[in-house]
Amino acid sequence: MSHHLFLLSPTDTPLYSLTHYSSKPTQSTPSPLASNLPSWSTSAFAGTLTALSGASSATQAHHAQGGAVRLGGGQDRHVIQMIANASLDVIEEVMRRDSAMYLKSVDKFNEWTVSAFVTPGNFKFILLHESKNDDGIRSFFNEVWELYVKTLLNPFHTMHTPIRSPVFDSRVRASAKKYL
Amino acid sequence: MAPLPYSLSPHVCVLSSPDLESVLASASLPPLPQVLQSFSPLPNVTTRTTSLTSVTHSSFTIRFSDLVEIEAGCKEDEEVRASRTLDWIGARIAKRSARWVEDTERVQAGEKVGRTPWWDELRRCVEGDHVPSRIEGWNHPIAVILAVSTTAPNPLQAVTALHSRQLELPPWVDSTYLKYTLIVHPENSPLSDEEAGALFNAVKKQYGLHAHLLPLSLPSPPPPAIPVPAPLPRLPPPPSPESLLSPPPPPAMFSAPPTPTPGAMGSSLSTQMMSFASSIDGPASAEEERTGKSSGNSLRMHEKDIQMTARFVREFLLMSVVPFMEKCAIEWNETYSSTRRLPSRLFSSTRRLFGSSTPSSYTPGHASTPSTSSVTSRTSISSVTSGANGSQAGGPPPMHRRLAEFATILGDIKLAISVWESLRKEGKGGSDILPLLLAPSPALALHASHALNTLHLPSPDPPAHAQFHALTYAVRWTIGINPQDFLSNTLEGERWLVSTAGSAEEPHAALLLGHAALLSTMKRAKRRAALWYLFAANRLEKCGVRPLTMYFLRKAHALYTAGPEKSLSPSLWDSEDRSPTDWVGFPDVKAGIEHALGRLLYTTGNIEGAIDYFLGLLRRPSTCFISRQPPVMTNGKAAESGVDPSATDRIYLEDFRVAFKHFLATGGDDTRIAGWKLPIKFCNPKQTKIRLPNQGVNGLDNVWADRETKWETFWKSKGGRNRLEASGKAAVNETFWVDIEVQNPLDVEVNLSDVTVVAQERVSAELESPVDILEAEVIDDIVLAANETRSIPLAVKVNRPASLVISDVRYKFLSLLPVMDSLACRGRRLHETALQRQSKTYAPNAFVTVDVEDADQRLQGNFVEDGRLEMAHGECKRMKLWFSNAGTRPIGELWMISGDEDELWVETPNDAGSSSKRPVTSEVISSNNSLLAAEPFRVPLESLTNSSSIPPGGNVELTVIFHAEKAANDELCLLFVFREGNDQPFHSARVSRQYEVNPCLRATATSRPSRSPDHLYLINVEIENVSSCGDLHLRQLTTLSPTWKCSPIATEQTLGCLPVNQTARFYFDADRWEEGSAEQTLQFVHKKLGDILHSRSIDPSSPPSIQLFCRHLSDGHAHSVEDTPTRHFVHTSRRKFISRAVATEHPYIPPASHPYVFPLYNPAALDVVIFWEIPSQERSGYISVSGLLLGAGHAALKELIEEAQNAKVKRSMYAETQREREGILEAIRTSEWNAEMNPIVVRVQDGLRVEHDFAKGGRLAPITFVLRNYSLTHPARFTLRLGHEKRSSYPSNLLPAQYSGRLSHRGRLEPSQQIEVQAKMWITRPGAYALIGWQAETQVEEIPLTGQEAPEAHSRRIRHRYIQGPPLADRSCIVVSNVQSG
Repeated sequence: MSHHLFLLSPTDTPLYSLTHYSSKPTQSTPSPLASNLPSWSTSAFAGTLTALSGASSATQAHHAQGGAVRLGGGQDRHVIQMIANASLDVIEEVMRRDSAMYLKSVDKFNEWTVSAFVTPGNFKFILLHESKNDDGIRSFFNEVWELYVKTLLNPFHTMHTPIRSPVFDSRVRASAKKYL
Repeated sequence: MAPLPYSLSPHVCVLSSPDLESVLASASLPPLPQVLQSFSPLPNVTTRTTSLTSVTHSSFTIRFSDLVEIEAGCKEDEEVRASRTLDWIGARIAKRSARWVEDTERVQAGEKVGRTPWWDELRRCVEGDHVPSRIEGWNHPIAVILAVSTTAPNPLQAVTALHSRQLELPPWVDSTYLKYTLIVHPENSPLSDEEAGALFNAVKKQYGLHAHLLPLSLPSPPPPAIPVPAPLPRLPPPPSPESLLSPPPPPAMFSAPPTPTPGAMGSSLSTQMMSFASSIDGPASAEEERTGKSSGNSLRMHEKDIQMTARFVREFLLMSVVPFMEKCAIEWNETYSSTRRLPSRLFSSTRRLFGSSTPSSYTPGHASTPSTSSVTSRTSISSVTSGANGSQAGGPPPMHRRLAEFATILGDIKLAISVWESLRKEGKGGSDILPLLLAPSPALALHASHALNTLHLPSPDPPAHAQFHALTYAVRWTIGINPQDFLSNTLEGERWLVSTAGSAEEPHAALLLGHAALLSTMKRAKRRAALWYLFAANRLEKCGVRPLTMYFLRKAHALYTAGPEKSLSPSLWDSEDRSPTDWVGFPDVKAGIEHALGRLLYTTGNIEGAIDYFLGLLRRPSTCFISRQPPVMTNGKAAESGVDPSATDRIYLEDFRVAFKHFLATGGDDTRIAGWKLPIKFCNPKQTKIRLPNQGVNGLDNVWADRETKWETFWKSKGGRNRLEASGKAAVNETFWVDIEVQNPLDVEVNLSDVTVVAQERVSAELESPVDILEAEVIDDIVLAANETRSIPLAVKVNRPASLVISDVRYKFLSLLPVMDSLACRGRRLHETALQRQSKTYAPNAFVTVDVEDADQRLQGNFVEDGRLEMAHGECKRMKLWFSNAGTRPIGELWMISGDEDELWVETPNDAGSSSKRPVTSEVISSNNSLLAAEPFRVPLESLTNSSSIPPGGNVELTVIFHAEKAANDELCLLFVFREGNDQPFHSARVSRQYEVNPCLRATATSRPSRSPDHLYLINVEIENVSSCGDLHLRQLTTLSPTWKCSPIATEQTLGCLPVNQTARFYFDADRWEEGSAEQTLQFVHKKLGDILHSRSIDPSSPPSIQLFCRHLSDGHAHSVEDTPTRHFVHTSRRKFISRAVATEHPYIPPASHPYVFPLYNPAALDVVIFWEIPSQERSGYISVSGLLLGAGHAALKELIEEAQNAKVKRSMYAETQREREGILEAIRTSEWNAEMNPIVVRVQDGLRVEHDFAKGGRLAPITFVLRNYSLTHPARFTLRLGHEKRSSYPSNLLPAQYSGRLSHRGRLEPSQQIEVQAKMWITRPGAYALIGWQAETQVEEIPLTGQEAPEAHSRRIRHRYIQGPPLADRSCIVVSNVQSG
């Protein structure tokens, strides 16, 4: 299971990117279809009914398949980056109506769910992930933010300086290992 | 609400008799269904809902099709048919895409309208599907028209035959349909109008009122064609074995446009204004099929016939179809409402909940058996079976579903919604239709996704029929939902299309994505649009639809590179010093798209375009740092370690190579090649250097500049006017090198071939293209590893004097693409004017230049032994320099300029003879006593060569001795300046050599007043071997001093081998050397420092020369210091020592004036020179120990300083000046020239042993105090007081002294005089008595100035007063022991 993190400047120029392969098992997620279905009937039997309709098996199959999709060689790298880029459309829209910093699961492309974090300085952290892990991602984003703020304290670091600090890199990695 | 899609309209099947077909064919008309289809949709149709409310449809579509076709279609397996349909769609799109793309790119209208030809085509293909499906009832026939003509031999029998024909529809097709009889009565019919009327009545009587007599004139020849809307394409029938042999019939494609609009009705044939004859435009249709271009469709029909047919169609709809549907709806609604009542609901859900496998069903309210229509009933409902779940059970579709469909068609939206909702809740579909009927809300998106989810699992390869149905849904949504609503943020319809596309890799899925992208573009979500275009392109590429793939990729590329529109402050860009337009974005996205585009272009034969793209891929944006991860172990095996950058580069490079080779192989155009620019640079212009053969490769530039300055200063001081020609000029026909630095920015190995430099000639401030004067080396091939940086020397030769600018490097990238890399460095940023500060302005580009001059004066010099030199500290190394005159004219004058710190001696043949071999133990040498550095040395060419000059091609060998004075790593840089003769300019040559000096001996010299009454001082020299050489021998120690004379105490045996880490000690007695004169030197310093203190200018006069007394201690033959190299090196060592000391001590006195202020030797100074030798390595050398000052000083500058302090101070307004003045004063006060100390040294003779018989009482012991005046100049008076010590300060184990007798002794000591004072101590018991408890007061007398009368001794003024006592740690004592006498 892989995660892709991008740090973007307010001009949407990526400054740092990280691919993290998590060794944690995929968490079983509640079937999203249950929430997709307009509410009907007695809720006590909703699960049974969903099972009967055959929809939940569909969802599970989808997730199993989603988990199996891997980022291949260099050829697919641009697709991942393109997905991150495309999610900016939604992130900007959400930013207009919501002032929260952590935007969870703003968008979804095939098997990739996009979570984002917008700092008060209008920097965007984008994370592409395959499974649901809201709390972990929130903590991860907060740590990355803290590390980023420390990086910003460097007077030679401008808005568009790529973050090449090995300390930053190793700490982000450690944080990803911890939370993702 | 948008009009319902075409496919959601009543489907009417037509079964025509053969005679009718022949009638129509003879009138050049298409088959009847197509003729009738031309009259759909109908305007202004009013229907009634179940609650009997009228609904007016502005247009009402009705579909006609051939019953035989439908029967055949139903027989085909649904899965097979679906996959055939998808293939058919794909093929159509593939065939036409090239022309579409061409047209679209010409018109550029797609984004504004939201329509693209390929999407329209897909939509028409999908909407044109008319074969009934198992899972939905839209295509199930609502009515069957049985049509005959009166030209039949027996029309009534023909009608009967049609009515008696069993429909060959499968059981799952709804059998609730209306049978309608149509009698076409052409003008040329054998029957008269009356007979036709009779026939019509008979038919009505026998088969019910649903019948119509249609009289047509069908004139011959047919009237001109009138255009009708293009028909929807329909899937051709499956190829049967017979049809494979014969050409396939032209597909039936005669139907109404998919989305009839009221405006289109004006051109529809249903209006009365048209007068056309009709005929099917079969060839046109075939043409369309072939070329992929839609030509206009037309019908050749007479105006009257049109009116009659229109009337029939309208009547058929209003009188038969609509009432039939309304009746069905009402009947079924009753049943439906009854099942909705609570008990049955409970019952059914209970059954469902408790595991009954039977699907929920309702009790059919009307179980009429299949029957032909009765005469009495207005409608003929053939059958309604109770198959509620037809799709599963193989029976007809459930009645609820049909009810919902009928209600939808009839516009009874309220009923339709409720029935669809209930169907959806039962899991029987409906989610697909509900978004068309409901008002926009977020729930619609859920309906849509539910519809898709129930249809097919999102597996990588869903079955074809599922894909096709999903596609149908998506098409219906795009048509049936208002575009504004569909695009709105609540629905986000484009996402529905994306999820419909799923992961299927079929053209239709790609088109769905493409349309989603188009919709996103309309919503201004450009980045998402780019992504979907890319996805679409990826899928289309797999299907091989190249033109459209390229179009999608180009769209993705354009949308991506356009960059985001940001509403950021304009000053942000200023502050970040960036332009809003140079947005780079993600590092790999652009490359990824361009690579795909390039490959497509290559495969489609556009090699040049492909090369354009491949070249662009080599660019490396560096905005984003991509963190590389080491491989992670997961479950025991290494997971993919992210991305390998070299893999991408290698692919790009390989593609470029292949494409370019192909381009060259196919006779590539040279002008095209010149247009290609490599986006990366391999050369680093800043590191480009010119290397000349006569120029020392090493050595810092400032060192050489120092040497040149030194020469110029020297030559100017000599009064010479000839300038030194600038160094760094190359000579004509002499090879020099241009060092270029090549750096590979790619992550993959590349090769550059035919690398060479390009130069331009500078002629009077203008650059001219290079004439043929330059011979530059061409390097065949350079292979650079990934990210490698390498410096490459290129040999260059010029055949006439010129000023060259090295402007470019030329090479062939990968041995293919010729590239010119500029060697220009950007000039510095200019800040002079306000304009320059506001906008970035740079000085002109800087190039590496080289001047080439005639080679008349060239000297090439180098060390004979070249290589790194390792020396021991103090070693004298003899080195040979070899010079050859490479010029065309002789060299008559040669100067050597070395650094101030370098100790060098040029050996001339005269030196060898002058080396004296006298065995001496002491000698007196003379020194100029000046700190001035050595001047440039003129090499005596006369003595080195036989002639006075070096002829062209001649050689000279020069031997220099180098003395390593300091342990360090350094470089010996020698500048040689030469010329032919007088009045010629000088030229220079450089020679340099690295050396390393290792420490060898550590020596210290200390002095103290001698205990011996015969000598003044004792000198202690300690020498430690700190080298790793065990074979080090000390050969000689020499002391030098202007006023002191040393004599060794130890014998010569102590000299010799000094093992590693051992220390040897030597002692010398030092006494006054009476011949030595200090007076002149002291006066010189006095005067000069006085000048400084009074801020007078210092006249450049050197100190007077001085005589040095040298005493040698050697183990045999002593080196004379008089020998020139030795003397030179001793002098230089001392000079460097003093220069450094003076520079630290007097930082405010300018270093240039030091030689005119401070002499080399302080008269009181004593130096020791230690000669060593390593016989096994034949190395020898010597080190000097300086810094000893002997004798007492008396603040010689006291008056001067007081005078300066008391002088009327000129206040300066600058605190710095004041501080500097104080600094100078303080430095002079504490300098060695103003040293001040107590000149009298008191020594108690200790160690006396006294024996006494104390039985006889105490005794007096004599104590001798020796007082000596160490001053060389001043007499001093002293007072010695005894018994003044406090008890507490006595050492604990010694007894206190008790002096008796005379306790105060006074006296006067002349310079260097010594006196003994006898005191007595009263001793009463044996023990050790400490000889302390005395105090000496000293008064130094002034000496009268020369010329003055010396006053009486007692009346002289006192210069200094001192008090001294025994040193704190003094343990001198006398020991008194008791002896029994007698």
